[in-house]
Amino acid sequence: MTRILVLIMGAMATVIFALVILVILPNSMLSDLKAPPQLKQPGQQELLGRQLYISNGCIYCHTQQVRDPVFTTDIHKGLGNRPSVPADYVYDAPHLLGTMRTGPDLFNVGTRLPDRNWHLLHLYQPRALVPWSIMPGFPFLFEHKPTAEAGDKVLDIPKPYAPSEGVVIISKEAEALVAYLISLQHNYPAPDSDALEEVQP
Amino acid sequence: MFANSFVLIVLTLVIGLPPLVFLFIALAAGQLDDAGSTAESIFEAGELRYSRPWETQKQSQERVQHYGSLVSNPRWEWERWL
Amino acid sequence: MSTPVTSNPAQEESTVDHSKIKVSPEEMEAYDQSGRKPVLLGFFIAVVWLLIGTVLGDLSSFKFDRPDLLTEQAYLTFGRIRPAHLNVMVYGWASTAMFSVSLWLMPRLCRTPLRWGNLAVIGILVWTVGLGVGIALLLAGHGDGLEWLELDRQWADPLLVIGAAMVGASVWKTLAARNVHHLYVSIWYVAASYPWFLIIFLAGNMPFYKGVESAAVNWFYAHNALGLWLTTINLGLIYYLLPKIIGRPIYSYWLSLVGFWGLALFYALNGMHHLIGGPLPSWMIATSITASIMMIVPVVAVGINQHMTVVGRFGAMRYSPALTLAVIAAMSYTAVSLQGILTALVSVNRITHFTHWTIAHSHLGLYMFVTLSLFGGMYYILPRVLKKEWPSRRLVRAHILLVGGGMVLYIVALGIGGVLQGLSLLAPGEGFEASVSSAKPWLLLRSVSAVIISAGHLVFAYHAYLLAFTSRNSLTRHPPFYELKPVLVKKRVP
Ligand code: HEC
Ligand code: HEM
Ligand code: HEM
Repeated sequence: MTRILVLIMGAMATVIFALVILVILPNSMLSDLKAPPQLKQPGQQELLGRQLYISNGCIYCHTQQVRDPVFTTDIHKGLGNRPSVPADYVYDAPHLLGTMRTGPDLFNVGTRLPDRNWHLLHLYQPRALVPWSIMPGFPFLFEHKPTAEAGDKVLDIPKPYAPSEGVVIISKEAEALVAYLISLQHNYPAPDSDALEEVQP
Repeated sequence: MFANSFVLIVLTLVIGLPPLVFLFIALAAGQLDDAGSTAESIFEAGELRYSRPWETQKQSQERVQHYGSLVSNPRWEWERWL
Repeated sequence: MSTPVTSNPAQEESTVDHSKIKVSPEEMEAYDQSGRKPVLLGFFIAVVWLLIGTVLGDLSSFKFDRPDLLTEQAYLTFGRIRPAHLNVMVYGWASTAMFSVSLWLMPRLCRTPLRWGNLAVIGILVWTVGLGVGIALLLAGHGDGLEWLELDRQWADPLLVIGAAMVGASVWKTLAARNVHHLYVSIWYVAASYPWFLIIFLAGNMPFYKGVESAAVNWFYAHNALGLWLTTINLGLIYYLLPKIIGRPIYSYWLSLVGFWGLALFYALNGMHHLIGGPLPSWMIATSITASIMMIVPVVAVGINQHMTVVGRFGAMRYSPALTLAVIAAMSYTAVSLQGILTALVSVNRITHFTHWTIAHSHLGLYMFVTLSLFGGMYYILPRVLKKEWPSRRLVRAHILLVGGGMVLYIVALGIGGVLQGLSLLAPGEGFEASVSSAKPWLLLRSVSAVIISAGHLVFAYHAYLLAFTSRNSLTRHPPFYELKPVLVKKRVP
């Protein structure tokens, strides 16, 4: 019996110990984090776009974090003008930090590529704009109709990629996703960092 | 803040001490002695005496010394070892 | 509890120490049969998930080479197929097979028939339904958005928790009814895994985290799902199979306990090494890097222990596919851990983070270690539970060579491709295009290996079908590798 107690209580102790250190402690330490004044609270459309970003798995190819210039070239390569800090993410639930850079980091994509139409076409068919791209197209985010009706916004697609007949209409979803992408701008100066917000070496 | 609170210290002790205490009880009672027989507890009777075709002469000899003369496996080999 | 153990040594001597009495083969057979239903059910479901996961993995892989492949439907887009692959493989194939492994190991190790076997059957079914619902929702676009935790927290996760708890209850009830004094090391690993999994899975799925805290919880969970669930049960299995097949007790029982507690202590703290350089408070990441380096202790303890058990007897691998796979899995565990420790160092991570190097690492761990260990377990367990032999030596050999060879190609290709990709992501002068084009040929090679591995899976599934559902019985009296020239060790001189 004693052995079983050692096993169950010891096993519990180790994992709860880790839970306290890596989850509960930081949770309480970061709870009073304030949003930087320049960081806009996402609106209705942007939140819908964010949801589409999640449900279509952009996170499996794109990160949203800028690492410290001390040991990476993230800033040198134009991913941002400073490393990202916890306060940049206060409105993010769930987080979208990501672990793969099969595609470029998107933390500041709104600053880098502010053109709505570029994004719309890029989402429909990346190779229409970037021939070497291995990003999949997302044609299902658009509507395909025989002819445009009143009020429809038609996507202008270059020849080889346009469907052989009919037109491609920009849907509410596509617009929301692009609005979300363009809202990704974190080029304001880092909020006053106290000990908590210092970024790791 | 929770980080340097008294609660945290108490919590850690409450979680961490009992298993340690039980570990010492188990050790003192000799429950963790005799590791050898624990390691052997997975074998069936006679299993360590079956002859095994891949062993070198020296290896079989060693087993004879430990567990007694080798016996041929009562079942087909590949059923036993697959 | 059938053997009351107290701290009084005098009293203890009066009870029979069953550990010293050897079981008879007939008794062992009875233990195997006591868990027949849940064990077979689990393995059956696991193989079905394996085939589904294989299709999803292949599709994900091909989509890198042909980005316009199957983009018209939302449920076929890469961003849904890939997480579906992960979840099907981890929770469908590996976890379900691990349920069966646990339910087969516990009665043998505790020397008592399986308790609450029917509860375990229901548990496995509930788990499977939960996963099915979760995958369907994921493909339809409803997921939680956290890697490794994509399954819907309203409809899928509660079923998974209930299912795992039911199987865990059966495992623990069997442990409580044990007829042995000593706890063999596999018991430590298997029994501890169930409460661990439930705690981390519940903690990971709580809906109230936001910002970087959500990332911390995400990777706390994901890393522990690897370390305190997938790794532990498979190490328990390997700790059983190696000595058992070779016919030689484990090299050092003490070392195995050091390995277990070292793993429990350090692994749980490892999670933040997935976010090196990320926007977390630096002490969290530093803690995880330190704990990662400390992992050298349990990893080397386990490695030495398992190696010393087998050393000098590698020839036995010719006779037993189960042993062959268990040995490769054990070596891969050491290899993936050392690779992981290397990857957790900032100087390496700055190159390999965000690249396909991580995918190579994932599959070295989840395939060469976890999946091969489970294949080995199935080769050993199924004939004993079904009381039939695997019908064909050829199919066994084809399976092992296809999956082993294919996966080596997969890992080497992505290992090289990942480093090249990482170097060009880091090189100040290069545009993003360079990182895509440097990885491309290696991704194509991965797709080739994907086809080879998939063929191996088909062979295995067909063979398992022949074993379980046809009366075709093996007439061969030779072990499956008998005619193959020894690979690792010279043939025995008689
Ligand atoms: C298979 C991996 C993959 C997936 C999935 C993916 N992308 Fe990409 N993405 C890439 C690659 C590779 C590039 C670089 C080539 C290019 O610009 O097309 C890229 C580029 C981009 C760019 C331009 C960034 C820049 O700085 O040039 C944006 C914006 C983008 N992706 C958004 C998305 C969105 C939104 C989704 C999800 C709906 C998504 N991506 C899904 C691989 C992917
Ligand atoms: C037929 C064999 C397999 C193939 C072709 C395959 C292919 C793939 C592909 C293409 C990816 C996505 C990589 C990326 O995003 O760049 C992936 C990811 C993954 N696979 Fe597999 N896979 C196979 C078997 C398995 C098995 C058996 C398991 C587990 C038991 C597994 C676990 C995973 C995991 C956990 C990931 C996510 C890795 C990460 O996020 O780092 N795979 N696989
Ligand atoms: C001491 C042992 C280990 C250490 C220190 C370690 C370290 C790491 C690190 C640092 C990463 C993150 C890589 C990155 O994103 O840059 C990682 C990812 C991963 N490791 Fe390990 N690892 C270890 C053992 C294992 C084992 C045994 C397995 C499998 C059973 C495994 C499976 C994985 C998987 C699947 C990922 C990818 C997670 C994802 O991104 O989805 N690791 N490991």
